[in-house]
Amino acid sequence: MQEDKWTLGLESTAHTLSFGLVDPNGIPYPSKSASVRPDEGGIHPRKAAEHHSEHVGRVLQEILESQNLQIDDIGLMSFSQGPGLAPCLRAGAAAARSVASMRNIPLIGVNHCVAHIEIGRQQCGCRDPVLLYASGGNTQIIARLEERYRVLGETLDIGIGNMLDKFARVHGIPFPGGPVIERLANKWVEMHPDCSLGDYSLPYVVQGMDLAFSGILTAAVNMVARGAPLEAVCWSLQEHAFAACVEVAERALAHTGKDELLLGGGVACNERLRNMSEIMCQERGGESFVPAKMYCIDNGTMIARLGWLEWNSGRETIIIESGINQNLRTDDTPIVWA
Amino acid sequence: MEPWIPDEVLHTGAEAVVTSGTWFGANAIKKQRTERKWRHPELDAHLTKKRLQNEIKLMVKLRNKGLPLPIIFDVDLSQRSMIMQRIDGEPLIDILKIEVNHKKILHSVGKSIRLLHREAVTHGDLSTNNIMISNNESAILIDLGLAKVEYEVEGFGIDLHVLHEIFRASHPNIDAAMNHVIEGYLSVDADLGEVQLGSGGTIPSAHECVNRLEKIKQRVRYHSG
Repeated sequence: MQEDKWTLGLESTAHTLSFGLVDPNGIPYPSKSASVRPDEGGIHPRKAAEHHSEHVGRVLQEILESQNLQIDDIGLMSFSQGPGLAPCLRAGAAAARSVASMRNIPLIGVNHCVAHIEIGRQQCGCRDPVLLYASGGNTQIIARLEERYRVLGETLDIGIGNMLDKFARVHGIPFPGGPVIERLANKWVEMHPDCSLGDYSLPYVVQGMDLAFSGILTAAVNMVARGAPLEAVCWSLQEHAFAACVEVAERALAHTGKDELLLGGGVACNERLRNMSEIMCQERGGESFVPAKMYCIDNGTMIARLGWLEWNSGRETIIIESGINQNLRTDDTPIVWA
Repeated sequence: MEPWIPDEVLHTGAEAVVTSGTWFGANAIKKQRTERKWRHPELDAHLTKKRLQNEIKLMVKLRNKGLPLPIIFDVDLSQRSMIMQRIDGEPLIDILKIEVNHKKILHSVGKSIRLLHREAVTHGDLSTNNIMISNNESAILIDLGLAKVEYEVEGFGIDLHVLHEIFRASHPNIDAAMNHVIEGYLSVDADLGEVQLGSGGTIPSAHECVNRLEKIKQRVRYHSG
């Protein structure tokens, strides 16, 4: 890659197709995205992939225009190689391959989960954090040991974001459900500041550093069905589910002896989760970091950033090795850049 | 004279601060559960009280059954604290940092976990911080706040999965750590025979629990075995 060229990142692991940029010095610039918004039900992987293929040309145009760049200014094409929904990953990988081969520039496939960590570290300036990665499909607690980011604990059933979306869907709230649940919860607290949480008690499942959310989902849905106000249950759902996440994050800090917590993933946009994390870290004498919301959700910029880091450490993905890996684990990727 | 004379803070855990000291002259530790201000106060009070009571109840019950657990000296529910015997030994997390063959110790870790499971109890937080290795290389499982009475094979499998993840994340260089633990785990049923029927049902065999661990490993996100 020539020294004055930019890196283009393409994210397409799930519902979001997103392009992002880092400049020749690896500085991130905001992404341009298109997301599937299912009218009903969850994400249909094949339909999402069709959506991505359909919008890829337009979004590419938008991202280049956003920084007044020409396609010739791009010197490296980075893409999400996994983990994620296979059809969505394939749509992204195909687009990335064609950009790279048409422009004759190098290609690099990166790990989506690791990209969340690296954009967070870059944005927040933290050194060696424990990451609470809370998104739709993923809920993991991750820390670096030697040359890998390792998963200390994770959800044993569904991701926390998935749980919130499913609860929302049952009650007619469109995808993504998290922001509306947050708004309803805030409304309840405003109107009933002295409400007892014990009146809306839900399961709290923590197994060491592992979590589970299907039990709380069922209980919350049943609670509304029995006549509890939706707003009250949204509030209780947040209080219980986020507390479980922050508890395992604290356990990971205690276990590893680290003192920085980094939040990532779409659920990290939630103010209550951010607030809980901050208080927890303050009490331990540590520090909590959260990137701007546009870098918590899935975004192409984080893919560009990690691609840039890996390229500068001497990695490249040749075409025959550019196949997707829907089960790519966080600890499959050696950290060669830092 | 004050019965409890504190010495130094040993560990600031996710639930409690652990301090060493003496209790009427005996070596002891104090486990002080502190308020978690980030959690809703009602939920926090409920969880803390439940876990403290749980820990005490199960420690007494399991000690009576002959499991090697510290003696509880004193409990103060209103202060959320307990004082117990101090075990001479080191947490497994520190032992594993020394470059030697850990096979024998890991085998005894597996045995201790199975002995707990045979009493229809899961530990709930089997991390390498919560396993003490005594000077004679036997494993003592401490910190029973998340422990619970269990008869479903799933619960026992999850208990083992927590430890499996911690080995993979925090001690990846220790070859086949979990395999040694599982060998020890299975050896207990081979030595002592089938578990007698518990008061709440049948306790799954060691083989069933290990098979379930394998299934859980396949089920979590992006498994790689």
